Amino acid sequence: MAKNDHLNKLLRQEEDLPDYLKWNNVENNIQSRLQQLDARTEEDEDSDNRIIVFLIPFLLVAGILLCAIWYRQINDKDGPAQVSNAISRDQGVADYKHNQISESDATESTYVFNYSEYVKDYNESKSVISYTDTETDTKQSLSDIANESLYSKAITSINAKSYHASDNERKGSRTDVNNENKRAEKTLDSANNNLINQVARIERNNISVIGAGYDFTDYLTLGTIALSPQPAEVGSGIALTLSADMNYIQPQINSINTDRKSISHTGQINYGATASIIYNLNDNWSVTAGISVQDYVSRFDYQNQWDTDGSYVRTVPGRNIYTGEVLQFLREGKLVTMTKRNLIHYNKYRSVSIPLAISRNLTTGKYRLSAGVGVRYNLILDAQGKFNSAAGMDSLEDVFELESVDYLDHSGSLDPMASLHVNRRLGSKMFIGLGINATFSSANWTNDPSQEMRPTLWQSSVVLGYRL
Amino acid sequence: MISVETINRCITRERTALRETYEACAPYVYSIIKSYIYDEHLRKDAMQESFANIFHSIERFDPNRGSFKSWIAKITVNQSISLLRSRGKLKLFVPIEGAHEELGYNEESIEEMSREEIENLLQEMPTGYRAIFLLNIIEGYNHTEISDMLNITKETSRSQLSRSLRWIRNNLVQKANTYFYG
Repeated sequence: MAKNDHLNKLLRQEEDLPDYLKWNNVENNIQSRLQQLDARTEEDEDSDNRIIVFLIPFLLVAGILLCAIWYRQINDKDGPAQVSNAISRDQGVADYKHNQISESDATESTYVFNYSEYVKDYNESKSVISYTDTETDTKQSLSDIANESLYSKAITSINAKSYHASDNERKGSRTDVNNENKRAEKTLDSANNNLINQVARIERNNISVIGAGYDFTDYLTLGTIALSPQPAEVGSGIALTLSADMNYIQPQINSINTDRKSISHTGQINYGATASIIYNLNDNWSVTAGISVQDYVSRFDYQNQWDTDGSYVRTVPGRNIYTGEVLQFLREGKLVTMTKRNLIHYNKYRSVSIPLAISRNLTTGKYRLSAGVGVRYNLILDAQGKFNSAAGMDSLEDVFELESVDYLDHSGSLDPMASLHVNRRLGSKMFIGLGINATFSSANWTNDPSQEMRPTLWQSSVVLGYRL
Repeated sequence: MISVETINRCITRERTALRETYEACAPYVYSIIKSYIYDEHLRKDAMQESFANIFHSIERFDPNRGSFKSWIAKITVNQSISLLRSRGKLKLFVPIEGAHEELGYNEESIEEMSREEIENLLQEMPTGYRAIFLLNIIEGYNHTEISDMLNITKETSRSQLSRSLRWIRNNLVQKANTYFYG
């Protein structure tokens, strides 16, 4: 409808003021009101200055913190981006061997056997390093033993590691090297390597099992996006916001996998970005929708334990049927070794989410506090895992492998979310804000029915907004 | 209306300049306030509030962006609306879907009316209708500007204007019938 100039002119005809509106009757009130307005402006300016004094150091500290985290992220030897560096921190082959030996409770002793001693120590088995031939009284190595019949050889003494038979179902030691016999050391080392290879195979099998969708899936933490309702400027209308986000995943795992010990699963700070649109229903309520892309990273540590069968040589007392003399005969025995290995998984997820939230706003001056609740549709775009796999058991190369995993649950889920934000107007159109929000996954992210992971996703955001 | 020199003196809060400005502009400001507010006490408050804001923000007046007259008119309208809202006298109805079709009012019949008759017509009009009618038809604000000023949606603004025009048309017909049939 067009402006009606005729009516405008008619209604805007000036006329004499009534007496109560003469300058003398209103001056004091106008001056008083003017002073109030001036004082309020000064307060606002002081407030602005205080905010700037506060905001600048805050932004500086936040910037330094972000840079430090970013720097650490790309330089962290344990970080998912540092595959090659991570090798040096990994339990490689050397550490693995060392741990196996050092974890042994074996002690090296020299035993001179006779029947009575054997009886007394019947529950103690021996793992032979070398022995002294009773006939020739010469020390023989295991390689020599291997060439002879173990069942017919009588010995008077051996250098051996001992272990307790009572524990040999679960605990024991593999034969250690004997400094007195280098050839035996080589033989045993070879045997150790065989065991290690066996272990590696076992480990590979384990990992393949993991890869099939059990453990690895459980501990890979699928990220969802925390997109927050960013309250707009005071007043109604539509606002667009962009936010730089720091996210943190809080894995919540209910595991019934008893094979793994010392489990710890922690999130790592990572980054994302969010774009959203806000529609202010009125001064008190607003609706937010948007899209967000986030990368989440988590670290999962656990200790794997497994038993390994190995061969060893033990002594068995016997009597010379011709002379009646008690002799010690060599026998091949079976050794059960428990081996521990620490495994580290780094899990990285890229996800996109679409949030829809309604917020209650409280506006004071240039600030607006918003508390919102809503739902978020999360979809995992990509999930990668990296771990110190068994491939590194035989070689120092590729200890860490970055592998795309296809056994993660890529389907979307609709999750509840909550948020809290503080915004400040910068002008008639712009505003900045800080916020935090949490998304509670309602879906089990693992494919494994025996395990559940419903993580909580935290996200802090620095928001820049523009009101249309 | 007033000179640049007077405006500059107002910025320094020179008392004589404030008085000169008030006396020069008050009749025009009052004519605006009279259209929106019919209570004398509120009118006085609106006058004082309008001039306090005019003096407070006079240093921000930019002659390149419009005349001083239109600038003070905008402040006055805003203050009048703000006062009505703060006193709970500006009640707007919730828009009804489809109820905001543009209705014309009989401009010819209105233009034949005197100022007094128009003022009487506006005085009888519900406050919400009157505010939208004045803002759109008299001041020339569009619905986007009105929705910002009143913190309502554009749909509400259109709806209120439509209702106000319908009210005027019905009122004029009624008056004509009264005149014609007695």
